[in-house]
Amino acid sequence: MSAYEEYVREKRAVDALLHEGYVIVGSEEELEGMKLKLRKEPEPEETQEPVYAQLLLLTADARKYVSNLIVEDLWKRA
Amino acid sequence: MADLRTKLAGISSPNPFWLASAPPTNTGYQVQRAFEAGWGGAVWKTLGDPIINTSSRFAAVHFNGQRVAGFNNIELITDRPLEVNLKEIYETKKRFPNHAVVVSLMVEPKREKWHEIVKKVEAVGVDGLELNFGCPHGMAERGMGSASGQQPDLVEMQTMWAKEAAQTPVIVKLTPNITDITVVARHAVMGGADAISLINTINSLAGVDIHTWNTVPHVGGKGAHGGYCGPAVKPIALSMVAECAKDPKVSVPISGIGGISSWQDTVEFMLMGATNVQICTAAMHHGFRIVEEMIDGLNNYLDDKGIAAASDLVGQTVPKYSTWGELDLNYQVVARIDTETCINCNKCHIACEDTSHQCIDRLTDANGKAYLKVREEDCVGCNLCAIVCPVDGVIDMVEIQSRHAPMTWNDRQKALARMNSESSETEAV
Repeated sequence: MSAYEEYVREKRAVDALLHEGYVIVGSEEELEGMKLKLRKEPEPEETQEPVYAQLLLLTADARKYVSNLIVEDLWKRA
Repeated sequence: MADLRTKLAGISSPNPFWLASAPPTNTGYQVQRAFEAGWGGAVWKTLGDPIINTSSRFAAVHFNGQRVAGFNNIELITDRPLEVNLKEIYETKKRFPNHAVVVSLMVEPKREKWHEIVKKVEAVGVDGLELNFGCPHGMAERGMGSASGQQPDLVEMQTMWAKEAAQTPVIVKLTPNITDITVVARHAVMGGADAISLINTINSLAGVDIHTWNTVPHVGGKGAHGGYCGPAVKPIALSMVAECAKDPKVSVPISGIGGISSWQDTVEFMLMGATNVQICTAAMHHGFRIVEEMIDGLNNYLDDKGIAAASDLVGQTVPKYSTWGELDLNYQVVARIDTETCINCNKCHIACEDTSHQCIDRLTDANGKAYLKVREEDCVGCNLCAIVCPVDGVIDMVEIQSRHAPMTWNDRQKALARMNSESSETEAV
């Protein structure tokens, strides 16, 4: 698999979760790559707890993509 | 005709080209010949207690047909008595009053020694002094040269001693044989330096003769490390000049030295913060008249660019020289191969396949003709293919517009830290 295809696979996984309503709430970088934590809030009428998802991003381009999302989100909120 | 005049810490010169303190500036005869050829200034070969030199002093590194890619020497400071040098310096300055005559000095790290030599040298009418804290060989074994230059406190103290007696500008010449040259540069400034010059030569051994097993050069079968200079050291020198130029605590003019062989090299050093340049190896290789081409080239360059004065170049690139953490991670270039002019030597393919990111494919078109194509989505823009390509202009590195705004590593780290600090979920990741 080319590096680009690996990146696309990881990017799609991130985008799919974001599309489902998850938001990135945390990250941790370690030897294996970047661990990304995402949270999905329940609908207002629902009573259950938030749902969490976790991704391990291996490729540099995917880690850069997610970094851009985080930076852009902070700028929007600034 | 552009104005090529420069002024380094008050020392005026008709152009930025000075001969560095070295064998070419050993005598009045040589310096006067250099001025006749067009050099704007000269730093006289280092004066101090006269030494005794060895026979067999220089060696060169030739690389792939280029003579003198690097140059190594084990020659020491002047071997002539001070009075002889002073007489010739006086005569030279009298004959060339508008040229810069700066004298390099090296004495033991003692206050009275610095006072004595500074006063004697200034008495003959020099334009400035350069303190040699850089020579890495021979004199360093006696506690001078780079042995002094590697100790920031000694640099500061000796600069101060020289300044106590000096009436003319004092330039401190720095050794590159140190981890961080800005530390020594700052101490030179704290000692009162009016300018700094860099780099002196780099510790080196030019080679070993694989048949005799002697070092190159050798003195009767024995060798010692020397000082390396010439084109091979230019990138090292340029980086060190840049580091000093962007350091706000090194706020004095810089005389750039190290592998400068052409007017183009000179422009690079001036853009990177050097007020002028000092040259040795190119003159030793090609003779003093090499300066004619440098003067013409610099003048034409300035005229072509519509720049009135060479001094307008000084430091223009310094704001562009930052740290890795401030580079834009979203900037991207990719390689594009012009198949019309490509000679299909496959060097780019081999370089990419073996040592980079495996993104240049060897393909065959409908007519059975082989061609090379970059898979741009996999190309990281490392430049290697363009570097190894033997035909100019065949491989272009083309900028790809990013969908994201510029983001540096420092931006990223700050954003991640902020997100993690804002999130109560961080520990759970």
